[in-house]
Amino acid sequence: MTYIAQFFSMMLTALFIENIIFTRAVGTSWLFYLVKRPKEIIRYTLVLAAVVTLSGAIGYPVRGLIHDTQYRHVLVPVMYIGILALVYIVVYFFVKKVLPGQFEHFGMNLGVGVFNCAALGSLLIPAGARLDFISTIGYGIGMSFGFGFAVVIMGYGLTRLEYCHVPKAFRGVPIALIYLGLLSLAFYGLVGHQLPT
Amino acid sequence: MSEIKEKMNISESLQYIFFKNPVLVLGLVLGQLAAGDTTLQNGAALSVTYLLIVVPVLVFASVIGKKLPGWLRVVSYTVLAALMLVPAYFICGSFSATIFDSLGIYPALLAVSTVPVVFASKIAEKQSAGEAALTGLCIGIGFAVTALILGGAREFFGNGSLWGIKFAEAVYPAVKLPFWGFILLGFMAAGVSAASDFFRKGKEINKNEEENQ
Repeated sequence: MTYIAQFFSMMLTALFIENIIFTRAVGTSWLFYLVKRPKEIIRYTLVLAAVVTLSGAIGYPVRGLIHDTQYRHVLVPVMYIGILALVYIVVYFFVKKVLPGQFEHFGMNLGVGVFNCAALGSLLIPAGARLDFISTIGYGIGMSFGFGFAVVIMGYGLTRLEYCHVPKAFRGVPIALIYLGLLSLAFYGLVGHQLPT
Repeated sequence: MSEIKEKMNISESLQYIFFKNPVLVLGLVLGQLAAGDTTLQNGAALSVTYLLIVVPVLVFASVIGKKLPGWLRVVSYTVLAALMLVPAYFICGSFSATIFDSLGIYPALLAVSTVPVVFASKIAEKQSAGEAALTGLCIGIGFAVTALILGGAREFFGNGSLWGIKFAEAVYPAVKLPFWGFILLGFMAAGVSAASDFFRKGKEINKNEEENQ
């Protein structure tokens, strides 16, 4: 029971309080890519959650060996990118052999689904905080769903912005960034932070 | 004919410095700057790391990419990008021993950013090694210009210092938080968009005047 409570508390923390986009600003470019493809959001979020869970589970025993070394800032990311590469190869051939119909739609974009800042960030943040196994998996899944949640909120806001009169220079990337900044500020206040003075 | 093509490719690559700036126009590598680029030193470290990742990966993609099977390409580009973090760590460590500590996870995220993962397959594989190197260099310079301006401004207003040299009291420490990073990047992107429009209009006016004469 304690493990289940720990799992869900880490998941909710990652989902709302430490949201991967609004608090950590990780995976923002990928967010802008997905906002334009609303039909892909659920699929990519599930792939992200699966990849992060699998890679987090594989990386957990290994990361303990290198975490106290002087070169951890380089070794930990290289290790996790190696694990992501392994997971990518396994998933690529699995989908190709077992789900050929899905492969036509999805296989070509699998690289973007696996190798992105959201996936690596969801692995590196729990590793940096030295979370235990249950918390690492819960945090990773929470971050993945937090990413999907952020894409939905951003997509809704940007759709509304299309109907507003935005000055020409601010159309496109600039207004999206400012809107993201304001949402990020709102989350910062929502979780109880105060601005430093 | 090939000379004209070469000139066009060079001018296309040069566009990545300003008119197709990877951060402010294409909207790439935003998170690393919004959250990690809080001082001029951080900006410099991120720029060096990005340059060291982008140029070799694009050259590798151009020279070897087409010879690899499709599934192995993205894997090899990303693994090469990850390995380039090693020289970046030592080079950045030479100007500040704790720079990677203060940057946290953000330099590592550059290895899985859009350029090594997507650009390498979509653009560099169709270019010669020289063109790919130039494209990588221009993307890196475009990123560096943005990173240094943003990092400098945030350090100036957030810490009252530049490159660690303090000369005033911090004006507004909150400027170092990610939301300010996004907002500042938004205003910088709007500035680039307005400047691009201005130059484009100027070119059109010159063209019309030439045609009238």
